[in-house]
Amino acid sequence: MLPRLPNLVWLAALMVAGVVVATAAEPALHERVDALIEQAASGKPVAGPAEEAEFFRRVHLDFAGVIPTVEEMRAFVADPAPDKRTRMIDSLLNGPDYAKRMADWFHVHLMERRADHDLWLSWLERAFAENRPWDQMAAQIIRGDFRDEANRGATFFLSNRLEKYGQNTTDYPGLTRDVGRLFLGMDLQCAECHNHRLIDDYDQADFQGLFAAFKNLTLLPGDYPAVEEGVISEKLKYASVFTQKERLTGPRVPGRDEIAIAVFEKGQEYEVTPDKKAKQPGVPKFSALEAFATEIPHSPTFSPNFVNRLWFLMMGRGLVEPLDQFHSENPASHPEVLDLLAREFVARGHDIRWLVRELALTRVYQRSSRLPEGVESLPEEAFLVAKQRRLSAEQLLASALRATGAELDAAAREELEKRFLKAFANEPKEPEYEFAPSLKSALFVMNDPEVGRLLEAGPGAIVSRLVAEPDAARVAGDLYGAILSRPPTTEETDEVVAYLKGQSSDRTRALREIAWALLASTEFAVNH
Amino acid sequence: MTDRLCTPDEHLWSRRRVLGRLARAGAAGIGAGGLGGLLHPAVAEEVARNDRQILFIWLDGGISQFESWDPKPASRFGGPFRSIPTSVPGIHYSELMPRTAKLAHLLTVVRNLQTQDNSHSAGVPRILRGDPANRGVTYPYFGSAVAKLLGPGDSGLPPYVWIKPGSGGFKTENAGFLGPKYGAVAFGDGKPPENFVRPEGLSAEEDAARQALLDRFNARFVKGRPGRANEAQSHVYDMARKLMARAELFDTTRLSERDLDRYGRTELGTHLLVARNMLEAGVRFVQVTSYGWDTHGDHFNGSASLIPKFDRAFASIVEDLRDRGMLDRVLVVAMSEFGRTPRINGHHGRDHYPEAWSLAMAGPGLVPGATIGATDAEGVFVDAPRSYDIGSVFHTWYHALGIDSKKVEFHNADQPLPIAHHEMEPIREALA
Amino acid sequence: MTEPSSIGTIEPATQVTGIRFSPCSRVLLAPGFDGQVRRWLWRGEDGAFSPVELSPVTGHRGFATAAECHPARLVAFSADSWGQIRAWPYLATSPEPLWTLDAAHDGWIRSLAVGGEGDWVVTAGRDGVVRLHSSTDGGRLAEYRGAGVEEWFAVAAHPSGQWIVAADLHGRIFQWEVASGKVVREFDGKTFHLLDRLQDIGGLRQLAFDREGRTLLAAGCVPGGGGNVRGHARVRLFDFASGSIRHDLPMGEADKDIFAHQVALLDDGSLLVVTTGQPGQGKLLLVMPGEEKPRYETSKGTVNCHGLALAPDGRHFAVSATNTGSNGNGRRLDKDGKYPDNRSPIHFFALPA
Repeated sequence: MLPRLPNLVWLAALMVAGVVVATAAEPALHERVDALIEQAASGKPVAGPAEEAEFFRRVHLDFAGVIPTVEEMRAFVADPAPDKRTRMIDSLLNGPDYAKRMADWFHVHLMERRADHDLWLSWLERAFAENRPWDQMAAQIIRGDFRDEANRGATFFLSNRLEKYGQNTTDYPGLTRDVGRLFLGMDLQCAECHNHRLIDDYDQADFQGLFAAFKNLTLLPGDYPAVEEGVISEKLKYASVFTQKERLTGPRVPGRDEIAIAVFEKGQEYEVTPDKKAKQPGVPKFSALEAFATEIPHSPTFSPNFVNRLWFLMMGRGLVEPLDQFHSENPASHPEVLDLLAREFVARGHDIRWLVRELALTRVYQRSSRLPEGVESLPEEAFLVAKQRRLSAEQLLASALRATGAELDAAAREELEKRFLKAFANEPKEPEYEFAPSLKSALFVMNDPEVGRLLEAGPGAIVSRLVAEPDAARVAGDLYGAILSRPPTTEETDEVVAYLKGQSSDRTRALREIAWALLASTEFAVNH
Repeated sequence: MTDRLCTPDEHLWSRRRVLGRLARAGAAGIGAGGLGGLLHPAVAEEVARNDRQILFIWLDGGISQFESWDPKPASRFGGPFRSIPTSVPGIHYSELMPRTAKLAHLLTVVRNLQTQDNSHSAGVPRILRGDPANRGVTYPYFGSAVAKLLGPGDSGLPPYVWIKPGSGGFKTENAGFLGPKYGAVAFGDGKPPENFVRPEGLSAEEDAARQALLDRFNARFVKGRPGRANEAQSHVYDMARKLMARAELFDTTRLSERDLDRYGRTELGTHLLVARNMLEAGVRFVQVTSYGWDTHGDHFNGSASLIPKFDRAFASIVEDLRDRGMLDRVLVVAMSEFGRTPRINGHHGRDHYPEAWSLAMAGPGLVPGATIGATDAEGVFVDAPRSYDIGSVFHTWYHALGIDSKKVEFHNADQPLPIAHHEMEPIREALA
Repeated sequence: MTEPSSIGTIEPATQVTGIRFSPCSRVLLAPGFDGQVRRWLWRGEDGAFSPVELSPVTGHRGFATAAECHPARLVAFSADSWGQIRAWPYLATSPEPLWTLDAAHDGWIRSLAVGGEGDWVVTAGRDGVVRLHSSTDGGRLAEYRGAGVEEWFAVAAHPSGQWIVAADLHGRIFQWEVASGKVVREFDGKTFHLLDRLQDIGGLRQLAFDREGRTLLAAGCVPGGGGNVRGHARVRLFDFASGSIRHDLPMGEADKDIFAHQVALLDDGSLLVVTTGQPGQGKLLLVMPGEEKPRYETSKGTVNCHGLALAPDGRHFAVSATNTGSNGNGRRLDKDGKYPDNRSPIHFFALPA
């Protein structure tokens, strides 16, 4: 049988040629991105830059995982320096919360609320802290080597997906599918048993090539995430259910050549021979995962997928949507932008922090969430106005605590975290892509006694604190500053002053009402 | 390869058809974002006027057909009980259902079910999803499907309410590919989920005042901004407020003594009473689950205790729905994931039996008093000429609800999916 | 020899509910699920095990649930789940009924005992009534009820003929004076009942007296859960004079041995008990109250035992058990392609001398 030609020539069509290799004289990447986006807007109105406070809240949520304090916000707004936004971005990207925030972000994105594991979370955090390149991170996740103590946590991506749910068998096709989706932007679901009928680019061989390696894994019990790889001695036989024609494939990453299977004599297949009695898992001499770890960064969609997902995380919408539908009939909204970002990302050695910084410096990222004057709507895929993005349960919790100034001990915080997750996190395996509030979350904010208590938890909590503040205008400033991270407008200040006056008999209650309504507001619930 | 992600069946839907449909949907301004299906616009309009509701009584573990709808007295596997005549001449039920027997002329009983699974873990979801052909997606339970297809109506209440023993909450997993918002709102032990009622210490006045502020703040925020996020947020808050305003519906302490006497002061009796109140309030789909029917051991004494309690509660709610004229719009179903074996095992139980079993229905679109199909003299096999699988039953229910299950489809992203097994037909004899 | 020894097995063509010996110990009666009462002369003149089946007693419907012999006359009384009692000569070649009561109860008669030296037959039904019938013609002599009782599960007659006792669904054990019909007292059997969700699990299966009437035995299950009933087999011994509990004995293993169905008190104070439980569980036990371990228990082969009969000769007893492989979901056909039923092999034992 002839080796299959890579079926990813379409990617060339997807990426428009014409962008030449960067030279020193060229403008910075973020400026070129903005130029391309605005060029494509072809005269449509564009939202102006975000107001100071809006920008400040946005970057804090994105790169520290929490809203800023009222003091930080005021200092930033008052700062007259023209380069303060860039400095703030740099400060956050090098700040103490960046790695944790990125780890949270990628955890939810890659594990989709299946479960978490301390080793996995700390592995992610360390990788982001040392700005480990994405190709290395991906290789460590795909390799899943339990002997590599420093990177054991990375194995959780595989090991968790090998767990059985109820009486179902191990979901190897599901694992294969997730690797395709999350690392290559290709949902090969319907290519398992035949070539995809709706997407010409997705070949059954693409699914089976990945499947050949992942179906060979076994979950190892123990305290840390671990998988055992079996011996592969021959190619995987599969057939299209339509043609019934049998085909063979060795392990293969889509768009790459098949990996040659190194066959060893019986008894000689193992580097470490498995021993059930000694609970010693085997390590085969030929490891398809090891080959995959080297190969996968070279798959044509590997880097475009990453930049698309990072773009999605920061802009609220991917250049390619849905995120896992990279194929020729589903071009990016801005193919040149995707191409440019992917190339530069590769050229920069898959430098994540650099890419985050470049994206954060774009006008696209820094736009206001307000539509231009007189405009009722703009197409979302044009990126001409900032999209209101979902906050994760973790961001909401951290922000609610900061907003209210509630003083909780560790146990109470942990308990509250559980409740926030229950109210705001999606079900396992349900990606958290959209802002999709639920009845459950509304009832939680309205009626959960713990939410109500936050406003008055301790003398430093917002309502307890402001009861003693005689100046109603200052109260308004503090409420809006602490909860919505911006100064109130005159209209809003007047409203608060009038409200407190109207309810002077029970000032605590009046403050509670305002503070709760701000906390429950859509403005608080999104990153705008 | 048994655990395929998708199967050939999907390809009955031609590529052209799919693309054409997507193009139409796009033209109609319906975005492709988000999971959960779209209805064809014309159909959507039709169902908007649909006032049909469902009471779905689930006897989890498997009620025995021998001791209920299809007795075989004095036969090899007949067990100890007698059968009794019903209000339909010639039709007998088990003596354990004396009150329901008097209402047989209102019911449509199917005695020739033959389904696929004899284990609970596979059987329960398979039956509740209508066992469609495998298309690589998780189908919604019947309640979620109806919530999607018929919507909540104008009751202001969630479309799919599940009254069950044990824990309550938001059971989103029932919704399958339709997405979490079509999941069930579960009333554990008849009580509403957590946070359904205003917390202690928060007065109605304070709540109203802060809600008014919230509306004002949101209106201000959304002015000049794209409104989608706020619309979604406001929608769920509105729904929550409407629900809270109907707190009396969920208060089991307010059930009348007279009603409790009629329904029986049992878990199922109370839950069916709550169900009646919810149906009256307009909830689209009410599922009531009773657990503990898996009588592998001491089956006959178990049935002697269980079935009369079901009989009492079931007959009471059927009477009430009839007396209120609601059987014209409420489809009532009582069933399990399978029946029980003819063979009586060594600890005097009956095991799981999907081969020949029964269910009962009442309501709009059905032939009242009809008995569909039959089993042989010993209740071992379904009598010729035909048996029905759950797919046919789903078609039948959809027809009874005024939904053309051969035309209406779900859409999962770009995949059109039949709402019931595409190779099966409704039970014509059951449909009026 | 301290253990019972197996002397032979009879394979009836049906499942049987309980078994009883005739006063002469030579006839074994076995009421069955098919509404027949089967009869065997189980040993020859030489005393060896050589069973000969006599024609069965027909005419019962539903389950034949109980059979007991008159202590002196050659008459047996049997009951069924459709409410019928009949009396018949148990040695006759074709036992025509001496009398029948078609509607002795409304439905399931769960238990039957003979008392007053054979003058009367007492029955307890799911209809919530205990009835006393004349053994000569079936005429109704008396009717007993307990306040709040919905269903009866077991009945026994005190050897003196003065009292009867019956146990209900909720584990309440009532004692009446036969003559006056008055409730004399209640014994405590509440732990033999559990309401689990919808299901009232009535755990009591048998009441019995020792020969002198000093001990009342209650056998059954302390339920742990409904549906597929879980729990632990239990035999409780009451001191009849005081009403106090003398022994409360768990049998076998919880959730494996779930019901103690029948119990018999031997002269040395030990007990024979049969239990049922999960598939492949349930057994025969020989237990001496106060001792930690059973003196004897059957293992594989004699499983899910429902019936126990102690022969009046004091030397033999029989146990009705269940064939192996009696459980299974779905439609499993036998090698002939037929849907199989189950059987109750009856094992005969000799007691240690």
